[in-house]
Amino acid sequence: MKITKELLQQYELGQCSPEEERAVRLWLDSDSWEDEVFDESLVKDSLGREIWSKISPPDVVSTKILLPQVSEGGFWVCIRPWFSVAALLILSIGLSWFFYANKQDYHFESKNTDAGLKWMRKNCFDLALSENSSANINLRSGNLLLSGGMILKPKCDMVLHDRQNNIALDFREGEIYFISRDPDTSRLIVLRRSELSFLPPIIQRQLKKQFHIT
Amino acid sequence: MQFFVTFSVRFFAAVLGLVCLYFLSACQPPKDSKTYFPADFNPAYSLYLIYEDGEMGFLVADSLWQKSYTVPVPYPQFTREFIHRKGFFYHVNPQNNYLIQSKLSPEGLRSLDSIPLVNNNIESFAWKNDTDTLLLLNVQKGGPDSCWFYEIDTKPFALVRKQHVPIPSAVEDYNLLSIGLSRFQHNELWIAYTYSKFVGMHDYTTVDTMYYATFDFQTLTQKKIQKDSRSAYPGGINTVQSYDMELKNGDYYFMSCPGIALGNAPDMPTAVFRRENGQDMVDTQYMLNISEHIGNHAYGLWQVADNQVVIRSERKDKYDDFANHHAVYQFDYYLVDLIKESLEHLDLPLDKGTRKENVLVRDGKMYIGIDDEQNRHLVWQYEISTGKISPVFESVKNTSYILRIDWLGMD
Repeated sequence: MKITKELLQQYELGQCSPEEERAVRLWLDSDSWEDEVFDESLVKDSLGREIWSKISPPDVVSTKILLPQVSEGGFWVCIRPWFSVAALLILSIGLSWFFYANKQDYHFESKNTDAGLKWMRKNCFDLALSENSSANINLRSGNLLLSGGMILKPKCDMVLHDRQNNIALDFREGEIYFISRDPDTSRLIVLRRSELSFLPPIIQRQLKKQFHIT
Repeated sequence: MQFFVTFSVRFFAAVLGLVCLYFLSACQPPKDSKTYFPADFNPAYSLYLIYEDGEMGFLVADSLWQKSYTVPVPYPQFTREFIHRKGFFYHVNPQNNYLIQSKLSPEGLRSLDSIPLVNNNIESFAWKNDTDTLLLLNVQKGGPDSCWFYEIDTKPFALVRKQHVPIPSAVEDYNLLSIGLSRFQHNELWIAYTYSKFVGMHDYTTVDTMYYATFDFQTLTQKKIQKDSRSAYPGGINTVQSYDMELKNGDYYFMSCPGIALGNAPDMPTAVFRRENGQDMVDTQYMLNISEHIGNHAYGLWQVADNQVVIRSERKDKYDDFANHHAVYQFDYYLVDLIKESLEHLDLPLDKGTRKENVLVRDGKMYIGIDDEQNRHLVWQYEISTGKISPVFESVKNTSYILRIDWLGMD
């Protein structure tokens, strides 16, 4: 049986008789079909396009677009904008962290409503709030707001202002300070640990209880 | 094979080296054998200091105040509230409430023994006559205030007795009990006490009555009670400062401290009172009104001669409140003749530091440790016979306060 393009089309469309089908299969399995059918003159461009469109999935097309660019060294050109975006992103995150951390460093605000001391560690000082106390410290303006009591362990020398009484307080690195606001007089009592023993015994006992000192 | 031999030789050399190193380090003296003064140095006086950095420690000097050495505190919780007698130190470690007996040696203050107490605030101590028996009184806090008594034989260091003292925990709404004085005499324990109450977060006041109670020493049952409304807050905590003394004839004198550093009832006068030998009551006719004489309150009284004491008084024009009371230079010293009831101001620089045991009388001389405005920390010598005053010793440069002067001798 002569294998023609029409027969092949019919085979493809499943319109062949069992006899024609067997013949096409035999032909396909043989080694001689190239010469006979794939003669350029016998296959029209439209048919080629039609077959190609059937066998080529769309993602292969996109790969075909990209691959030549990779091979040409255009990869870097392609991701350069992403680099810029990433750099910008890192820069903005870094800057905001820096400013946030810096703000955290010079500004401190906390409250303790629990029983016992609440310890906090900062770059410039360690601080323990006694119960029912709140503190607000701004190292940039040097303002100290306190209600209740706190233990302050400065890690550098600092001056804080008690605006309520218009008093500047010197704090030295390495010392331990017991600071207490008298709610009746709003007076701020600031004592170094070694100075506690100078207080009247009754006040001493009360402060030791407030700050859980043995 | 050659590699194996070389490796073995190197391995054994390394092991040998390590063994040598171990023996070398074992031959080094152990760390705790550090000495603070030479073995041939005899410490006669000790100063107890607060340094500029807030740390505390001892400075020991020889009997001529010529050589001195610093000695650290034996443990971080050590405070100035120690008792010293004949070379032995007694202090309650506030961390575990143990009374610790220590002795000074070139290696520092070494703990020898300990006894557990109810709590850490010794309010008053006394020696049972001139024996080695130490009598302690403290006030247990937590519930209603209660007074506890401890009898301790210091040789050997053993608790003989621990007993509750039947002192009421409060009078009216004054619910803070303070023991101000204690004295053993004629098999009786005499205790002066008072009550305070809070009138604000950091403000309190003391009742305008001083209580003197006499207890049978064995049973601690109360035999007598005397109420005295001439002043407030008799005595103070005598591990911090002295407030009483006894004349050769057995008459006993003590001072009340109603000023802001103790009683905080400043309208009452600071005064010296007397209990004559053989009398079981405080003399209601005798009252040396210190406040009337000097216009200020005083804290601390030390015997200088038989009828003479020195007192340490504040200057109300110098301080604002108790928060800066210790830091301003305000303390004066007055010689007081108890019989003539006269006061003489001593020509000394103004001192700082609320309540200090910085006066010591020995061999006809009085030594006073003063922290003055020129940031000098000098021990001044007052010759009792001539009245001549001169500095005899300068403390180390980084001193902030001379809190105590103690005689370390065995007498």
